[in-house]
Amino acid sequence: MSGELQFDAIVVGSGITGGWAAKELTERGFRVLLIERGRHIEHQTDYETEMVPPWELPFRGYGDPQLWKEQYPVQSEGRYFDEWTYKHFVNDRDHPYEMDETRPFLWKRSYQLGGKSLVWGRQTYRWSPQDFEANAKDGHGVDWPIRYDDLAPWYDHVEKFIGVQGAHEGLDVLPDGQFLGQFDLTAPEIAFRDRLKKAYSGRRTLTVARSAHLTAEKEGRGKCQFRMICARGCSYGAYFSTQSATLPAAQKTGRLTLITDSVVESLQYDPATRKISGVRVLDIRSKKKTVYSSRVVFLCASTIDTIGVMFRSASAEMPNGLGNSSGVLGHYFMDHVAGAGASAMAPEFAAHTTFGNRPTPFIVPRFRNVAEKDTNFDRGYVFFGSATQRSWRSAETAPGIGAEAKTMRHAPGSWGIGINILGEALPRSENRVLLAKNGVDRDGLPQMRIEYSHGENEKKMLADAEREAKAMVGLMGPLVYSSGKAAPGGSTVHEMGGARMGKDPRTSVLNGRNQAHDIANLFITDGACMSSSASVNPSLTYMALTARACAAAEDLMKAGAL
Amino acid sequence: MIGAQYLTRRSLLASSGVAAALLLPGCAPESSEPDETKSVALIMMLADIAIPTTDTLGAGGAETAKWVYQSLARGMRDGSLDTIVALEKELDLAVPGKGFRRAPKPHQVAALESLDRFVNGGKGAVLSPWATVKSLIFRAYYTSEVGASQELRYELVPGRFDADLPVKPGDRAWSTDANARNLDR
Repeated sequence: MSGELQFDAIVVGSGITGGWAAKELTERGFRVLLIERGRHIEHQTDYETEMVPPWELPFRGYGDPQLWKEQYPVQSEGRYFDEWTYKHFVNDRDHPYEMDETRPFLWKRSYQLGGKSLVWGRQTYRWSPQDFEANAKDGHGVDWPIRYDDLAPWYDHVEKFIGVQGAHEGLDVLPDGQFLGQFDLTAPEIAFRDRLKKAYSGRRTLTVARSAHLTAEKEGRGKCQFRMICARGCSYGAYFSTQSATLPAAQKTGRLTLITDSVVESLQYDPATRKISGVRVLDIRSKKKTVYSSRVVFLCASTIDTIGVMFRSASAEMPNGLGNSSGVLGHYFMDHVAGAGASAMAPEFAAHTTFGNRPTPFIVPRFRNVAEKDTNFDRGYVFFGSATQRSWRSAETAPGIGAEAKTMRHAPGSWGIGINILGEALPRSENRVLLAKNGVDRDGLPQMRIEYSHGENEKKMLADAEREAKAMVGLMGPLVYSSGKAAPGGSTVHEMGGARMGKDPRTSVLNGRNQAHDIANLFITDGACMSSSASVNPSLTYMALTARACAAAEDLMKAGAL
Repeated sequence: MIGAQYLTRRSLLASSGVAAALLLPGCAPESSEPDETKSVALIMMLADIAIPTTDTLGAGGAETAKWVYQSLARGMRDGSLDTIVALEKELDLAVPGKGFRRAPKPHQVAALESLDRFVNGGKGAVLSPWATVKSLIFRAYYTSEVGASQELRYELVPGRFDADLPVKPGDRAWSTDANARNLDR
């Protein structure tokens, strides 16, 4: 019954947080088993399409529409999904899930070594103090058991390791980090920033979107080459991923055991010790089942799959799901608001152009409800944007044929500037993730069911964002388009919540150390732990929480408590 | 969607009497079974007009046309092999005499230009048969080695980002720039 090997820690999942847990725990002297459900992808050698030009692909990068429709209907909606990268996303037919057609949720996933850290947007932001206080102040959700000051040293720790480019702006609402250089803004972006500052009396600005790209070589990793093909895998190691950074660090210690193609079916709970006594793993290739045991378990399987493990681990002692004495497991699930925005022409910049592809946009930091509530909704949003110069792609869908039109396309096209919302979604009990009643996936695991819709607060936010976006881009030229329509849930790939942190075990799953209230040796540090969603990309916060929780686990193990 | 667009244009032409003959009851309908060789030949003709050879090769080669045909067969841009059939019918109505394929080149160019004026839309817009085929011709050409790296410039590894450079006359645009990268389906 007990495992073939004994470990100090088992980490479930090798994505952004699992890789961090493996690195921190091995570096702190512990023997770690890292379990990944998907296949091995070796840094550099397995990035099969990285250097392939479009003319060598059967569908030139667009991909086979029939294949996308049949096997990748959800994944193919994603921004970074194309014919080069599609093998870094799940096959939707192998891994179906349940949702209502009236509230669609696009669940984007990558089941492979590195998880979504291979295909993420690299956007890297600290939360602000206001974000951690929000639940307490306006009563939505439960109060976070930590504040910005608790996490600040861990933001430092993570940023110094991963390498973040960004500009120091001195804004409370978007705290500066430990930056390693910054990418430049283009001429239209600089002009836009200046006009925003002037039009809004200094209360609105923009800055280069902060991202986990290297501007200089760092500890064996190369600097960004400005190709913007990140999701294919980067042999330079220039963006942060498990493969480029945390996995090599963990492997260097000699204390890491990695198994892939191995999915965690459930965790075994021992009521006598009130701890996890084993991790049941299915080898996908051999179909063999093994139970591994360890002193602690870090569940980093990605929000929805982490909740899946918890529900699949229900037992006689915990019939509602592992660690679910509160009853809130799966509830208060969130995804960011997206979809509203506007774009305009920027005709004054025809004499300017660029070289290279900057792999990050710009961000307009939150300006709503900052010092005081100044709208009819709670919380706030940011705008992400880009200034783009039309390429041959615009000619696909515009009039113009023949020799003269062909020659005119030699010149770079006209500039446009567009901004789109990323907004905070409130935690609501009715938004939830649970096991579907029927249906299993390719590996025989129960399907997940996702019930998610935006509420009134999000709708008001979208309307405000459209109005503001139109006014803002209008500073640059004639309006081209605007929208106030919500993108479907899942669009931002920031699904989080469902196993929230809180002070009270009756209304939360985890304490302030990401430790399950009910189970002393279980830590959850991926998106599932989040009690609110803020309005910036969450991955840096997940990484900081993970590193901090590993330090807490170390203290407990050294004290003999675990 | 494509059918609806086609019918609209037919009724516009019908009011001028040109298409009246086709609407008479009792007319045997043409076979709309797509013939790959014929379809590819038509696409080659259209691609050669749309992107002719200048100082670099144009899009009129067999490779481009076959790619367009295969992509339509797989449903790219919500097209299908029927798109080519529908397009040829529109083109036949836009030239005097015995159909597009046998028309003199100047008539063919004028016919295609008349359809091209209606091309104005991208993702989400209702695409006419020519808009769909044009989109695929452009994709095929500008992602080909000639189109991407000779007609325009292709740089696999830029190595740096220059945020603000003056546009120099004679410099050619990048086929690999950030704006060319986000691929609509």
